[in-house]
Amino acid sequence: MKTSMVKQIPVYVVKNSRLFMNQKDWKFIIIAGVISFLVCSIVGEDMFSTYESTKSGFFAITSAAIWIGVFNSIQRICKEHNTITSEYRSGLHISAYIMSHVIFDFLICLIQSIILIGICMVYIDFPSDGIIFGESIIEYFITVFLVVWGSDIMGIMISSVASTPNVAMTAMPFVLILQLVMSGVLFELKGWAEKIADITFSKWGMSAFGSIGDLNSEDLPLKMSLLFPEVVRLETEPAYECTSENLLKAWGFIMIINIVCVIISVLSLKIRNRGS
Amino acid sequence: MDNRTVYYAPLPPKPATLFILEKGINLSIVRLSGDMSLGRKSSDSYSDITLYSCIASRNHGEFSFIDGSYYYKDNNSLNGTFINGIKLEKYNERGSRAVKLTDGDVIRIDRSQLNVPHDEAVEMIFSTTFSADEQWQRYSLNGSYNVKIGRNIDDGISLTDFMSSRNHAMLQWNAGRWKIVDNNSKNGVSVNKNQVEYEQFLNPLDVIRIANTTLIFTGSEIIYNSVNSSVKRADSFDYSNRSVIMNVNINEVKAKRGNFGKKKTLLKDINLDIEAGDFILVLGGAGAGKSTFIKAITGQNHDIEQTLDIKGNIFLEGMNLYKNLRVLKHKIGVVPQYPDYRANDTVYNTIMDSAKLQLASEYSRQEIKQRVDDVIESMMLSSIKNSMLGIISGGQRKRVQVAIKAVGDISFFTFDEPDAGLDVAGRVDQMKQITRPITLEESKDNSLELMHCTDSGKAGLMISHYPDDVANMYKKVIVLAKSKVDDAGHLAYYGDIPNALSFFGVKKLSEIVLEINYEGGKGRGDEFIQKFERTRRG
Repeated sequence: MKTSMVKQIPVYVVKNSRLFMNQKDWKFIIIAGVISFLVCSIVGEDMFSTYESTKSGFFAITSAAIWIGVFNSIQRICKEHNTITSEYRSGLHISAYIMSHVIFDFLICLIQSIILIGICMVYIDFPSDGIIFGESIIEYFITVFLVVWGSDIMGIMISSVASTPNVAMTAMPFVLILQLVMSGVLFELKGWAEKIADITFSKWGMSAFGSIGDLNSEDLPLKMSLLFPEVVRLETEPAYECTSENLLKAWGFIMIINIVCVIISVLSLKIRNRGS
Repeated sequence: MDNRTVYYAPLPPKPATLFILEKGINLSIVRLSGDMSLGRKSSDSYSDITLYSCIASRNHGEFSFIDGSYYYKDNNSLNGTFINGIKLEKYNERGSRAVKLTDGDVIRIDRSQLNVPHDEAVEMIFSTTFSADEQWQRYSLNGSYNVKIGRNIDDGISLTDFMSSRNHAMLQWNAGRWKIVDNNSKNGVSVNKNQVEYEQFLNPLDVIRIANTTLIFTGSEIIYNSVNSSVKRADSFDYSNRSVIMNVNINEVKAKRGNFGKKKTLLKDINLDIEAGDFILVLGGAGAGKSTFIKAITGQNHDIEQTLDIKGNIFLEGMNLYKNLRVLKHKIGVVPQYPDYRANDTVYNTIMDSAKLQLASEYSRQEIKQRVDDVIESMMLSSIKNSMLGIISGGQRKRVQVAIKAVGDISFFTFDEPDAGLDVAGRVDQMKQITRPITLEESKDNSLELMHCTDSGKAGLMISHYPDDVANMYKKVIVLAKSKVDDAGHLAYYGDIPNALSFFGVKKLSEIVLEINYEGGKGRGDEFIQKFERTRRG
């Protein structure tokens, strides 16, 4: 009944890119670089020396990726709800609007991921063997990108549901804490917590990193093992199984969560504008 | 000596047209002009509109012009009359109830099986949008299986209406029947006044409406009119030949706050027609329901704060607003008091994106650019077109808001206090500039008559608390007053400005609010509600 959704997407992608420059949103790329530098310079030296330091390093990179992604987009939709309503009345497809953000943010997240992984490479000596690709760095990059982009889309979802930027920013710490707690690194998750963890990027990001870095490997000793060689790890964690199936499963779940976030974003904006 | 003051003069009959199709072949066009009778040709009786069908009665029905609208009543004829597929029931010995007609209504004289029309069935389409230069054409469907319908196409039914899409719809022969398929067109397809959701099978004598074009499906051919409308502003507009854009028949509007809030009646008994060329001021005291009225007639029955439960019907361009909101919302331009904007985008890009949103499927890049340039020029935004919205003035921003609506196919604008917060010179200037898509420019000799006219088909409604600044711009005024009887807003006046001043016994429009307001005014709201109701009933 109006300009098709597919034709509207490029209009809004171009608009987003214009606003990105005019609003000086490129500062988010610089912030991503600063965060990456801080994280990598701290965790870099000890990575891949012991099990704990490697796991902590992955956790720090995952957390940084989530923070970078969410911060990109969490205020973007809610600050223009009234504009969206006006444009919706003029023929805007809500799905085109959300998809334009998802597509444009794909590019931003790609740049941010390149910066993050690039700085990581400066400070961290990544083992070269990958599970699927020949070089593990490719797999690390894909994981970082998926977590950043996924978190960005989650930010779009929160921003679509929130009525104002204040509400969105109030929700942000809770979402970040939930993501960190549900990663399974800080606490052991059981029962309902384990189920909730299935919908977090932190769990699947950690799973992918752990898988690529082979956290279950005996080559990564416990810190205590360095002093007392007779102390060994008895149990391995299935989430960090170093197999292509496990890695693909982690990436796949991140993509599924992305799709769910996009659907919730579209639905929430449609419900908000149903009387328009 | 009769020294009564006539406050509300009955309007002269407005022109309307009946397209009459008899026996599925003969098409005749009858101009309605006031009360007219309808009946079969006979030597011993006379009808204003003569039918030749044997199933029509000699005194079949009658059209009446009452209070600015046409009504039809069946005179207890033998075979009866169907309006939009519903048979008129006998009401008393004189016939059925009179039914108010709106643009595109289909009046049919037939036996009960409407999907298998009688050979002598009569179909009449009521139109208020007919223009003298329309041509009717026929397109035979014999030997075809797929027939394209679109704007200026070479193969198929070619429409001249600007509002129709290039690849608007398709007629397809399927399982021994014809069906119409909407090709995701911009303005949609309706059959017998109901919106088509993707596709619909057709019965003989079904009436298809595509934008302003009427197409009658006879079973073997399509009879359709060519409407000459253009994206360009009309050079002149004949106000006496205006058509009804919006028909409002609101019985009651109730508002409910949140999901569990209590319903409260905000408006009652609002009946009025808005015509092309009308630029109407909405006046009313606090709580009279001005904003609710605007929301109700612009399809905004739900927002984050409240839900409106609207009893009654609102028709825009002959189509039920709420049943066809998906299509009709694109024709309504709502200019809010404080428009939201993307501060870091330029004026030009904002208007261009809006044009792409509304027109990209139908128009070339060059056409869209031309359209944007025209609107920017007409809204006097050329000097700031490369400026960011965040740095231009509030008044300029409102003009941008109007421009992003005007660049599309908007036929009805509403403005909510665009003059708020400005001094008197600023208000007058703002009002003149912001309403440019609605009003034509003053002529060189400052003839105000021209200012009342719109280009073909547009109308506007304005809420303003400074009505006297530009009183001569308004063609009519709607006065809403809160009644102490039911605590709801009612219509206290609808008509032209001079009669309004006389009706309320005031010299300025702003004094009307003082007369009707209970808080801080003279509290005569109920008095004028009843007075208007009485004068309206004659």
